[in-house]
Amino acid sequence: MLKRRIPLMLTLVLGIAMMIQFFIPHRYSQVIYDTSIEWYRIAYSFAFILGLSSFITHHWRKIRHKKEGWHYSPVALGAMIVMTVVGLIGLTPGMNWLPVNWQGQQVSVFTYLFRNFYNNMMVPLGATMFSVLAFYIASAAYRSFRAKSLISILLLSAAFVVMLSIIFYNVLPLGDIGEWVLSVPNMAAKRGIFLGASLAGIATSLKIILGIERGYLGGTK
Amino acid sequence: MKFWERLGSIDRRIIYLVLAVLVIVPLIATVKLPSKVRAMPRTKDIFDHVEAIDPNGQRKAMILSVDFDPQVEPELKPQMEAMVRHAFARDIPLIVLAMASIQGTDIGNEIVLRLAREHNKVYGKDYVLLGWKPGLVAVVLGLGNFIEQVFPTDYFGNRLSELPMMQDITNYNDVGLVGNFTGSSSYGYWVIYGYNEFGVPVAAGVTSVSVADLYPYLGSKQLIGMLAGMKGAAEYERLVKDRYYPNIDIELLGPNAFKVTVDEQTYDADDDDVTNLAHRFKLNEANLRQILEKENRFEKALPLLEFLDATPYTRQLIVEDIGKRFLEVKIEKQELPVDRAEMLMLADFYSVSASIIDTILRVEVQGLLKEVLGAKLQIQTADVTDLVIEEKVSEIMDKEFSIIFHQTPLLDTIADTLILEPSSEEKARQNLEQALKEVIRVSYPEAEISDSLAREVLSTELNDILKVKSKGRKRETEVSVERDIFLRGTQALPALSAALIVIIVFVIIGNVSFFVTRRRKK
Amino acid sequence: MKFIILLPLLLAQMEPPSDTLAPDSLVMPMIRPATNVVVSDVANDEGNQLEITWALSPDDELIDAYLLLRMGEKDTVYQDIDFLAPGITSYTDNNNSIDPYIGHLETQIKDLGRQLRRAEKRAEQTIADSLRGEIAATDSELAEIRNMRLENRVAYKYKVAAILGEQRVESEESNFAKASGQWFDITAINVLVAMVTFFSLILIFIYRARQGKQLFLRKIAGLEEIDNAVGRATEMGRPILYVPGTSSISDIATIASLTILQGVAKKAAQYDTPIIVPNMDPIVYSVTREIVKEAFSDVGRPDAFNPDSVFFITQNQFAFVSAVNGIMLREKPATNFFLGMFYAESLLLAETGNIAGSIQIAGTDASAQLPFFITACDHTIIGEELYAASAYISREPDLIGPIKAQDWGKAIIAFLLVVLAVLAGLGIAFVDKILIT
Repeated sequence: MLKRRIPLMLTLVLGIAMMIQFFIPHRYSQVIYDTSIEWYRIAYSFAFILGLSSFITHHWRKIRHKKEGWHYSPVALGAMIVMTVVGLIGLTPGMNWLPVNWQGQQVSVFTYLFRNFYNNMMVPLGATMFSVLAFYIASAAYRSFRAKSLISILLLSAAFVVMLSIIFYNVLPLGDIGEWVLSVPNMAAKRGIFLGASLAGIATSLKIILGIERGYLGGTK
Repeated sequence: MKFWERLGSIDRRIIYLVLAVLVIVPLIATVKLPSKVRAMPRTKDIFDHVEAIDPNGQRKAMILSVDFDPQVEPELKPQMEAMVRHAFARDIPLIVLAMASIQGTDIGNEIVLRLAREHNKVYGKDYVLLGWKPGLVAVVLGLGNFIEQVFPTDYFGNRLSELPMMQDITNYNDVGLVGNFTGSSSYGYWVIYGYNEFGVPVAAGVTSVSVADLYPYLGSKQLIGMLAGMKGAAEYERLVKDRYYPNIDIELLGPNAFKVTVDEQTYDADDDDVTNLAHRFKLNEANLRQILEKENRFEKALPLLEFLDATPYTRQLIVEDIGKRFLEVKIEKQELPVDRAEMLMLADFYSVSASIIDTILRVEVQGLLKEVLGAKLQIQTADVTDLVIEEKVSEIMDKEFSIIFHQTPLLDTIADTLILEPSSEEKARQNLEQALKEVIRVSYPEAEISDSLAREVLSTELNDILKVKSKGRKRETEVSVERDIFLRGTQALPALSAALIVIIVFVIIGNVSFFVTRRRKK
Repeated sequence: MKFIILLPLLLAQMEPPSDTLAPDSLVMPMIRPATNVVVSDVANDEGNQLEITWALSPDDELIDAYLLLRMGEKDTVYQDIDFLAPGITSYTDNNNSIDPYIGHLETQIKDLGRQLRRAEKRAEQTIADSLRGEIAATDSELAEIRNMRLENRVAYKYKVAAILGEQRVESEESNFAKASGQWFDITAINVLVAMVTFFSLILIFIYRARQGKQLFLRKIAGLEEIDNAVGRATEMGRPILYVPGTSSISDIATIASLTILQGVAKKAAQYDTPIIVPNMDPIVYSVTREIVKEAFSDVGRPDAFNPDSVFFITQNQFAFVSAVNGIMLREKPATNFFLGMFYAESLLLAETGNIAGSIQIAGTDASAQLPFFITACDHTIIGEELYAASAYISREPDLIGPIKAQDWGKAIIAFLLVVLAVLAGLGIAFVDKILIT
């Protein structure tokens, strides 16, 4: 019981304290705010250790039990270890072990490897994933943009106007209509969703502070 | 029946294939772009705002906040490059920092350092790199009070107070625009804490996926404008290029004589641009408006540059009202014979980078040398191949490039070129000596031929040859500065349009199939 | 107090201008000083700030600059504070430029001290002596700079000098004023009013719900489907995939997602259906792990919890996407839940799930991602529906009450927007300030 009550008490006290803090411009209040942000950062770093251990054990178990797709796990673990080592050594200021010539500068081989891995593996891999989006947009649009009802016809025509106005801004007089669609109906809907979601967010925050909403703590009792 | 149904359920892999082909083809084959691209209003708004910044007045600086990861670089990097070019072309002091993404530091620094080299900008005087600082809200608020408080030192560890540019840039009061490039929503921090608290104008460059998110801020004018993905980048590039980067051709006529050809510049402007126009060309705004209203056309010969007043070059500015509240601004083509100093100043004015000048002159000089060597000194191509000459020339020019500009005799250079090829050394010497004696005997019959005199005379002679030759010379290599090289976003534009057209076509196909099959079922 | 403020003003008006000009100003025209220098504490701040205003010198167009001078109540001379361009009529004096420099000097002294100790240890007498000298010099500089700080609870007065070449013409002295931090930000009063109103509404509706009053909740298809989805996974004997968004725990959408996870995990535990929860944020990971574990012990089967089912992948957006996509294509989950905050990865996840043939339920309040989820998922929970989920599933009166309050809140905002728009249209000026913080 105590295990649950202490976090709830802390939430209540700190939640209300931070609410009051918002209205106080005085220096003491600002110091409290800054300190709490520092605390968050420190807590975050410790959580990262948890994440890291999860990552390692997850993949280790996969390898040990030879689960489906286990052969990707050594790659993940290996990549993590190599990047950690070259990063820690290579990015230390003033580090110059085993110098190599890179872009006309003498840098440590670790720095070179880190930059090289990062720029020539991480970056293109990430960009590839992002560019897959274009293909997915095409297939998703083809599958689900069907003029089944009046509303979907409206939606479809709005989409067409916006897309055509982007392609043929110079040629067709659609450009300004496209802009209008984006800045008037689109924005009205967006603001509606935004207002609703914000109020709901505030209400949820209050429920959490008052301890009414406890789902995020796990369990119900 | 079956055909129509099948159209409604095309395998997604076919869609992917069609899309891939139609996106890649325009990227490989260079598609000729329309000469004029009219920018969409949100892009134009930012451009106009930057145009209105007075680099010598209040609010003169520009902050660029690079908050994106390399994954979204293809969309955001061209945007940032275009804005950096705009700032550099207008001599706006530039401050670059990263806030939401530590990886933004490297990306931003790379772009700015490269472009600064191209524009001959000096670190600490024209631009400053601040590096990365965590804390989002604290950073944006802190910069509003005192930039040095947040960044006591710059990226390289210099104290900010020791950089000349930062002497009169204290906080947002001296900043004309904050440009935020982001794949997430970090523009929110600039709007809420930068614009709302301090009133500093904010513009955002974002990926196409998140464009719709910005409209609330655009509607409330909390954002000056927006660059929307690749399309936004392309538009901004065009706007900047049309105004500040005309195609330029630099031709070497002699050791200290150049012909600079500046291509015609045309761009569309609208009513709001008249102020910028007047400001940029130092015209009387009221007067300009009046003339345009009365005659629909304004024409004036503007002094090209103050430093060229010794040779009063002008450029013809024509502003024409083409209806629908649009103006066409045209600066006519100019051909200017100038000396080296003037050429360099002109190049600087039009932001032609030193490296481009270098390339042009290298090609020009190589051509001249080859001609001279071939024609005057009768070198056998079997002994000294073109390739050898080219290699030697570039080798020498790497070492002694300045020789060409300072009217120092070309002779040594040429002789070295030949002599350094061992197999032909003897022959080269003979040819050279023969040529020397021949030339001197003709020019100075009574003169005593000493070595030094011979060299001097020959060099003068060679210079003359260079001049004469170049007059009727047919140019072998295309060396004019086609400065489309930096239009990275623009080059990708056909691919973007192709992708959208593919989507539209497939959606139409899907709907046609849907209607046909539904009707048949009925 | 008022008199003190007015006094310099009166004096400035009474005195004939420009008697005090330097005689050598033959080349330079003679200039007159700025007038009406008034100092006041900056309102709603954290202290250590004073606002100084003045009227421009009549010769503002001629002068080079203004020099602002300050003197504390216990000081005997004026200090130079800042040079200001002509045309400026106000200045906020604070320690923003001094404090970083003080910090710099302090670290410098620490550094020098360290060097000194090292030198003493090695018995390098000359180096130690020079270091001692340096420390003493820096110390005195520090003391001097500290002296220049603007302190709270000390009264200061100011003068503004107009400067042209060698000429320097000082204004009258200002009033005395003290800087202080405030305990309430008056400009945030509208936020306070809105907060109190909304919170009272919430509490009232919770109270009414507890009294047993039936509150109506409309049917939300996406939330109805959550229950069925777990059942379907059990029937098919395939796992459930639950992605709690890609944002941090401080995002309220993440917390809303976690409350739904609790219900889903419990159902999964009851039916013995495997649940996979990949995470992108380490803090969210530790919370989701706890939630799923508790869910299993709640239904009395703590041993059935598979510690491998909840895991952290990476903080890199697209690396996370490719990992989750891999899981979807390999494990072929019966149901995918994408609930919480999403960015550009939304369609990448949802379309892959679609390819894998899973039933998908998505929910987010990131409006830009909604279209992607709607096109690629079977059910989409839009905006505030996400926050209503825990109330909808549990039907607890404490949780349903606030939803009613939200509706009232929206109604009040809509009403205010209409009324204020009309008033603003009628040209009433103050209305557009009501909602601004």
